[in-house]
Amino acid sequence: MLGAALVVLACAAAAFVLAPLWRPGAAPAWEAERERLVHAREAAYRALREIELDRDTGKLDDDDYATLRARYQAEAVAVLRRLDALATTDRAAPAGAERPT
Amino acid sequence: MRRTLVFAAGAVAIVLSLAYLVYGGIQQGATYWVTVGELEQRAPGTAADRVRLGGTVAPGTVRWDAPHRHLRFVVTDGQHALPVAYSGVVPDIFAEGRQVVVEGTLDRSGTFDATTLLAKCPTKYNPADPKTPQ
Amino acid sequence: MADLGRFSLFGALVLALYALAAAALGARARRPEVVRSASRALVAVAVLEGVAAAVLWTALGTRDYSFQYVVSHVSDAQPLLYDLTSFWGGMEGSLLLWALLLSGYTLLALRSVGRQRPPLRPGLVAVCAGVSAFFLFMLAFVTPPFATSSFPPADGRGMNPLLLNPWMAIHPPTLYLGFVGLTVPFAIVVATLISGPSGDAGVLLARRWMLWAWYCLTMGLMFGAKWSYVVLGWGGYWAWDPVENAALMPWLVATAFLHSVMIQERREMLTRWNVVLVILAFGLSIFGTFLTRSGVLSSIHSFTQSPLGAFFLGFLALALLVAFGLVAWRWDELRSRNELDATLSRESAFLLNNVLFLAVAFSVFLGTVFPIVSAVLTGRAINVGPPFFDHIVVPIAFGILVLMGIGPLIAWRRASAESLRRNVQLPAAAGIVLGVALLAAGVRAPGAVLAFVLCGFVAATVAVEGVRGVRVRRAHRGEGPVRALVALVAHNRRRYGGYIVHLGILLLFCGVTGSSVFSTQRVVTLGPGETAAVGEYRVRFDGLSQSTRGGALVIAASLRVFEGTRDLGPFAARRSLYLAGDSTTDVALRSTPRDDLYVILAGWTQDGRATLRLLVNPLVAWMWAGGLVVTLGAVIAMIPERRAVQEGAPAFRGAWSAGE
Repeated sequence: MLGAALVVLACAAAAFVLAPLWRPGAAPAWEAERERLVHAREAAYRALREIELDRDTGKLDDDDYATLRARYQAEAVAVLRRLDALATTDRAAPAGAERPT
Repeated sequence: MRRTLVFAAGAVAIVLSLAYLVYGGIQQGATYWVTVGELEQRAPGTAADRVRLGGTVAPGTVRWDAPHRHLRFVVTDGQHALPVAYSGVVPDIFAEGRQVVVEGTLDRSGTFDATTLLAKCPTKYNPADPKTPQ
Repeated sequence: MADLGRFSLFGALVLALYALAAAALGARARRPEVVRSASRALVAVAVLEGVAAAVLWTALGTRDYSFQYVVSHVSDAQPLLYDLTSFWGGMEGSLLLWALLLSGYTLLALRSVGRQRPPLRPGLVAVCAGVSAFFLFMLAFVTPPFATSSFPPADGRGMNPLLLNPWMAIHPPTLYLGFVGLTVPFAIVVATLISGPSGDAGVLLARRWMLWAWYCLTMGLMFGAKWSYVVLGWGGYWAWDPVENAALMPWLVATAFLHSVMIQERREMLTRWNVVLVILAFGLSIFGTFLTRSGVLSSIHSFTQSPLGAFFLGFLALALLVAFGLVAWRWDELRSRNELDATLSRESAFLLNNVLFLAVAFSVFLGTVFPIVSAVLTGRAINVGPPFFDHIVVPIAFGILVLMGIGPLIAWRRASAESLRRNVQLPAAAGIVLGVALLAAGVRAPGAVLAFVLCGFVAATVAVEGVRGVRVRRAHRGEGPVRALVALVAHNRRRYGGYIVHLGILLLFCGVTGSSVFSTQRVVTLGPGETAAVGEYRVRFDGLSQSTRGGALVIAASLRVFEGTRDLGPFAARRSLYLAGDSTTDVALRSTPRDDLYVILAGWTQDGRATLRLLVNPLVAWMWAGGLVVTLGAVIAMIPERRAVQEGAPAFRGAWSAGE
C-alpha cells in the first residue's frame, strides 16, 4: 500500500519536474542596461531629495548644496536621456526579441 | 595622497588598538582547560593557577548543605575522580550524572575549590555522537 | 509513516542534486527550459520537505514512540504545544527546519528576484539547490530524524523541562529564519558573480533580504535573552556562551552590511567590500548552526569523534572557496566607480562603523573558537570567559555609539567641519547635561555615566533630526506638527526607520548598562515571617508550600514585597523537581521601568526555612522595550519606498526639459 503510494508520488514529482523539457521556449527578455539605468535614476532622485533635506536641516552649506545639486541633476538628466534612447530603440525593434545579455 | 595616508594611519591605529584589546582580554579572561586525570597527577599545592575542569558529577556523591549553601560532589572523567567544593547558587540543570564545568583552583588537600559552577545546558548542546540518544 | 518521511527526504535530496546539475547545464547550454525544470525541481523539494515535516509533526503530536526522535523529545506528561515545538528541540528536527525554511525562501527569491533580474535565475537555483542538498544529505544519511526502534517504550523521555517555555518555543524558529535568511543575499550575490558583469554585483537586490534576516536575528537574540533571563534563573540574560555568540556574529556582519550598502547605493563604491560581507554573513550562519548543533565546544574531544563537524566544516570550506573564487575571478569588474571625496564625510563615518562592527565580530569569533585554536596550536585548551569579551567589546561599543550620533549629522561626500560643529553642539550639550544630572543624582560609575551621556547624545541627534525635518515640512507645506512628522517618516522611510531602530538600540544599551553596572544581589536564608532588604525593596518570606504539577513536585516560597511602607502584594518563587532529576526555577519577577526585582528560590531546609537569592536589576525592562522599538523601525524601513520616487520625479523631469 505504502509502496504504491510512494511510486505514485515519485512519478508525480518526476512528471512535474521534467514537463518543461518538452516545451522549449525563449528566455524571458531582459535588459541589463535598462535595469541599471532605472536603479541609477532612482538613486539620483533619492540623492537629490536627501541633499535638499540635508540643506534644509542645516547639514549642507548652500554652496555645497548647489554644487551637489548640479552634479546629481546632470546625472539624472544623462540617465533619463539614455532611458529614452532605449525606449526608442525598443519601439523600433520587434517586441519580445531575444537580446544578448 | 594625503587622504590615503590618513586612511592608512587610521587602519594601522585600529588594528593596533584591537590587538592591544585582545591581548588585555586574554590576560584577564583566559583559563586553562584541564581534565580530571591531568589535575590529579599534579602534586598537591603546586597548582595555584586557576583552571577550568570539565567532567561528570559522580552519582551518589552530591552533598548539599542548604543553610550554608555549600555544595560538595565528586567530578569524574570515567577513570579519575576529584572532590569539588563550591559555595553559591547551584544552576538548575546541575544533577548527578550531568556534565559540569567548574572553574577554580586545586587546594593543598587535593580538593578543587570552585568559584564558578556551570552545568552543561543539555538543551542546546547535543551529545558528541549523534547516534547516542540525548 | 517513517518510511514516507525517509523517502521524502531521499527524494528531495535527489531532486536538489538534479536542480543543481540542471541549472548549471541549462545555463551553460543556454536552454531556458532546462533551467525552468530545475526551478520546478526546487518546488518539488519544498513539497517533499513539507511532507517530511508533516510526518515528524504528526509523530510528535500523536506521541508515536516508535520514532527515536519522539522518544527523546516527547512524554505523556508534556503539554501538546511543547510536543509540537519539540520539532526544533533537537538537532535532526532543527536541520529539517533549516531545509524547510530554505525552500520557502528559495521559492520567494525565485519569484521576486527572478522576475526583477531573470539572468540570475540559474545561479539562484544552483546556489539554493546546493545548500539544500547539503542539509538534505545530512538529514538522509548523517542525522536521520526518522530513525525508529522495533521495541518502542511506553513513554518518552520528554524535552528538558527548561525548554518548556513560550520563549523557547519561538526562539529557535525566529533565529533560524534569520540564519537561513542570510542564504538569500548570498545566493543573489553568487548568482550575479556567475552570470556576468553587472553594475552592483546584486548587492542592492540583496539589501532588502539582508534587512529581513537582520531583523529576524535581532528578535531571535532578544527572545533567547528573555528566555535565559526568566528561565535559567541566574539573574542575567547574556553570558557570552558559544551558542549565543553563534547568532551574534552574523548579526554584527549583517549590521555592518546594512550600513555600507548605503554607500554603494549612493556612490557606487565598496562593491567588493559588500560582496565579502554578504559571503561572510552566510558563512557565519553555517558556522553558527554548526556551533549550536555539533557540540564541538561542549567537549574539546568530541570534534574528532563526531562526523557532523567534518561535514559542516567541509561544506563551509567548499562554499567559501567557490564564493571567494568567484570574487577573485570578477575582481576587476567589482572595482569602485568613485572614491572617497573627503576624509570628513558620512562615507568615512560609515566605513569606520563597518570596521568597528567587524572588529567586534572578529573578537567574538576569536573568543568563541579560542579553546579549539589553542588546543591545536599549543596542545592545551585555553578558555576565555566573559571578561575577555567585556574587555574588548565595551570600548568598541562606545566608539560605535559615538559614530551613531555623528553619522546622521554629517553630510554625504563632503562635510564642512563648520557645519558639523554647529550640528553637534546641541546634542552634545544634551548629553553633557544628562551626565551632570546623573553625577548630581549620585551616579558614580564612570563607565555607566559615559554610556548614558553617549546614549543621551545619540538620542538628541535623532530628536534634532526629527524636529528639523518637521520644521522644514511645516515651512514648505504648512502641515500640522503631527501630520508633518508622519509624512516625514512616511516619505523617508529608510532614513527615519533607521533612526527609530537606532532609538531601540539605545534603549537596549541603557538596559544593558543599567543591569550590568548597577545590579545588586544578596543571598539570604530566611525563616517564615523574616524579612530581607534588597535595593529599595523589602521581601518577607511567608512560608513554603508543596504541590504537584505536570509530573513535577513544585516547591513554592510565598513572599510579600514592600517598598518603603507600601505593600506591593504577594509574590512567589518556585522550584519544580522532576523525577528524572532535573529541576527548573520559576523566578519571582516584578518588573517596572526603573528596575526588576528578581527572586530565586535557591534551596530550603526541613524546618521550613528558605534560601533566597534576591536581585535588583535596574532598567532591564528598557531592553525589551528596545526590541519593540527596533521592530517598529525595521518594519518602517522594510516597506518599499515606491511613492517617494514619483514624488521626487516631476521636479527633475522639469529640470530636464528645461535643459533641452
